[in-house]
Amino acid sequence: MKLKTAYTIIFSFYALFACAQTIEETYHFANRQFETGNYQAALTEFQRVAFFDSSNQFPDIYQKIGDSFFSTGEYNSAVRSYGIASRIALNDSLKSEIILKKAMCHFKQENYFFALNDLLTLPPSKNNYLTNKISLFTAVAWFGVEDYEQALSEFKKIFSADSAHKLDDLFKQFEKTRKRFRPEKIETLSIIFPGLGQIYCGDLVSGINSIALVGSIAVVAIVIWQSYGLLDAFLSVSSWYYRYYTGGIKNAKATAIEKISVEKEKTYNEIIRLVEYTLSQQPQ
Amino acid sequence: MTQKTKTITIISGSNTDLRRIIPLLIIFFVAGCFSMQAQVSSNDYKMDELRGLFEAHQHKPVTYTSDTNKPKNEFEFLMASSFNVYKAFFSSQDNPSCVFHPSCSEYSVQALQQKNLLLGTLYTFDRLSRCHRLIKPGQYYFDPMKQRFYDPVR
Repeated sequence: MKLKTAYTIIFSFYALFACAQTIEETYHFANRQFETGNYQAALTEFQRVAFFDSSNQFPDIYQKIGDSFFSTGEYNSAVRSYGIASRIALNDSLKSEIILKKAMCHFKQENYFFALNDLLTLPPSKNNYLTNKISLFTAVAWFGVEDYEQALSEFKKIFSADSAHKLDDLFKQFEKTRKRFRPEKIETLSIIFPGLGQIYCGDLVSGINSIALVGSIAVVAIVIWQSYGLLDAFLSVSSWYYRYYTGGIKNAKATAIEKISVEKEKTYNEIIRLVEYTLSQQPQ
Repeated sequence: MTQKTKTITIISGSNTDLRRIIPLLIIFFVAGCFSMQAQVSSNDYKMDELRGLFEAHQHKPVTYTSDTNKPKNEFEFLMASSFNVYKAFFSSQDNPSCVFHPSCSEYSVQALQQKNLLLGTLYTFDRLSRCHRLIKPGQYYFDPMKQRFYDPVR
């Protein structure tokens, strides 16, 4: 009994001096978690800080939450957090940086129109670094929505006049490929003659496959026509013919789209390499 | 006098050392500055994030897969060959008409692998009879990525 009383007194006094983790400590702890790569733990702590920070002590908290969501791959939540962060940002350059981060979330989700919508609201900056970054992101967004002329003009803002010709060459080469493998053109070729579209795209095996398949069905149709009559041939073979004839057309179109997307990836990587080199040459 | 000479020798000795070290220090400093500048620039512009954005999704033809490298028996060899020929020669030229994911041919192979010959055949016929455009939408889970109803072998 005496022991119990003693413990009660001791802990009652201890409670007078003890205090919970302060909001600053939580914030620093969350930062440490983020730096060590524990994004989920950091996110929980940052959210706790945002909830208890009634005096707006940490104005960058929503940006931190957005960063944590971004690192965990939750891009939609990151967009929402960056949205709040951009509205409460203390200055224009910080707001621009947050909107660029938001645009990156849209890029990750291939929502290039949304990214463009955000990027076009950014005010022009006097800071050379920020101007370049905005141009770069806007160019990527235009590239994503397949408006290559706009993309080129935005990319050119980063380059000097004498080094922009390399960029022109890359875009011209890509334009050439796009015109050469235009999906509608390839589709029409396969409508005219099955397999022609695939052969034009360089997929010889698939082209021959399509010719052989549709040709065999046509031969079967002729044989049935000769043996039983036209109606029998139509009723028994038309559905198969339609299936593989239209299938071949779709296959040709898909081959053309794939060809263009491979070229797009190649061109984009070349552009990024060029941009990286140009930016590394520019004074910070 | 001797102490003075010693001091001069030390100073002149350290001077020669310094003469050797200073160019090296300058080189290290310049190289360090350049590397730091490169690091800062690439990180600030988020180049690593931007690099892999427009990755082309190349279509890979589906082929027969099994736990073992070699077919266990003649039946498995026949099944694998038929599946591969069907996928390469017929299915590649066909419209995407199957409403389910995995497709009926893949489902059939999985059913024969997981069950026995009789049950696998029955499962295949069951699946073929269910694969049409009039299925109830609420009956199966719709996979938005594949744009197909998910129906694995159970």
